[in-house]
Amino acid sequence: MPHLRAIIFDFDGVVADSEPIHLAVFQRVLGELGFILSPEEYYAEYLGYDDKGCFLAFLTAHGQAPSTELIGELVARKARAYLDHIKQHLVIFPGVRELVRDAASRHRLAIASGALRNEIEYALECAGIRKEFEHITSAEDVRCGKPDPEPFAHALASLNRASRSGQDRLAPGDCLVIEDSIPGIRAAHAAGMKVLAVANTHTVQDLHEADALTLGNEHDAAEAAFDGKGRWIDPPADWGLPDAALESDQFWRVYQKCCQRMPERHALVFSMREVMDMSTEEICKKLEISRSNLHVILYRARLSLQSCLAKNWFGSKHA
Amino acid sequence: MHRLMYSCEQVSKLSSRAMEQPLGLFDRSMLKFHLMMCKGCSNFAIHIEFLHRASHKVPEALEKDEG
Repeated sequence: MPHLRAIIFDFDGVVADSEPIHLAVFQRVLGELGFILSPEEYYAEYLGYDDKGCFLAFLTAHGQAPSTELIGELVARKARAYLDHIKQHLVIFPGVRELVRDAASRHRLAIASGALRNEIEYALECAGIRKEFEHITSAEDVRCGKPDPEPFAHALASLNRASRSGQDRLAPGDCLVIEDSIPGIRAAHAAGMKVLAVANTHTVQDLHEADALTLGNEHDAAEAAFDGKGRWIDPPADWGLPDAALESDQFWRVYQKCCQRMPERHALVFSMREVMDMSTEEICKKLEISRSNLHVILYRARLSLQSCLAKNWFGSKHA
Repeated sequence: MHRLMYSCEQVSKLSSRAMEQPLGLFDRSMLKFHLMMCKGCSNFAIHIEFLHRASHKVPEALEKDEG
């Protein structure tokens, strides 16, 4: 990236941990019409659409020909239910506030989202980061939502209208987009911008079209894997024939990122043992650790790598 | 009976330890018995075997990066 001057954030799934809430509210509104929307269908088919697009696509896929009035009514119903919900729960991802404040000191920031303006404004106000964003493009501002480039083109044009001089003008290549969905990545590329994808909602593998990838939020694997009685909270699933992954460059990038995410000492011990093939005696002597300590570290490293790869590579759709 | 049975957490630790050293007869039988009945733990055992194979094949470019 030669001259990064502006960052344009998607909102749902990047700034706000709101996808599960959107799903629940969509389910409620569609349920009132007698339709069932499964999480699998929502995450696979409708993520990245704005509300209008989602209702339209869902009803069309289910053999309906909804009128513009009906769609409008459903969008309004969903917006009311959504606002009710977020008034009770703060939905900003951990770390976003710090990242946004830090980035705002060096770059111009905007939002380009398919969410409604008051939903975005409300969540940003609550998190205390509203003023960091120079501009917000919301569902109301565009005719075509993502994967159409219009939301990003609109955000760029608005930033440029606010530019004080010709030198401040931004080209699409000066902007980095942060996205979590496939239509979002395509929209940003179509607008001529580079994309960093965050695997909050999809696996890294699903998001391979992006220019750069980062893993989503995760807790310490060892702490999160078992309940108080030593039972798996999320039992490891079948990975099929995992060795096929070894041929993929993308897999190795994920593997490396997962290793970097372990505590440094764990990664070192794991790499001495499994990559360099050193004997346990050698490692214990070199690092001056006990045998039982070595077992604990290797166990934690394996559990962490296993759960990171399960989440970011062997996602349920690829198993 | 249940006090004798290992939990999934204990079994996953045993699976990992077995990659460094042979287990005693008792632990070995308990592990085998649990893996026969528990899909989650038997997947975990397969996964860490895969990590072992995979880590032997880490591309050189990556290794330098990490070191």
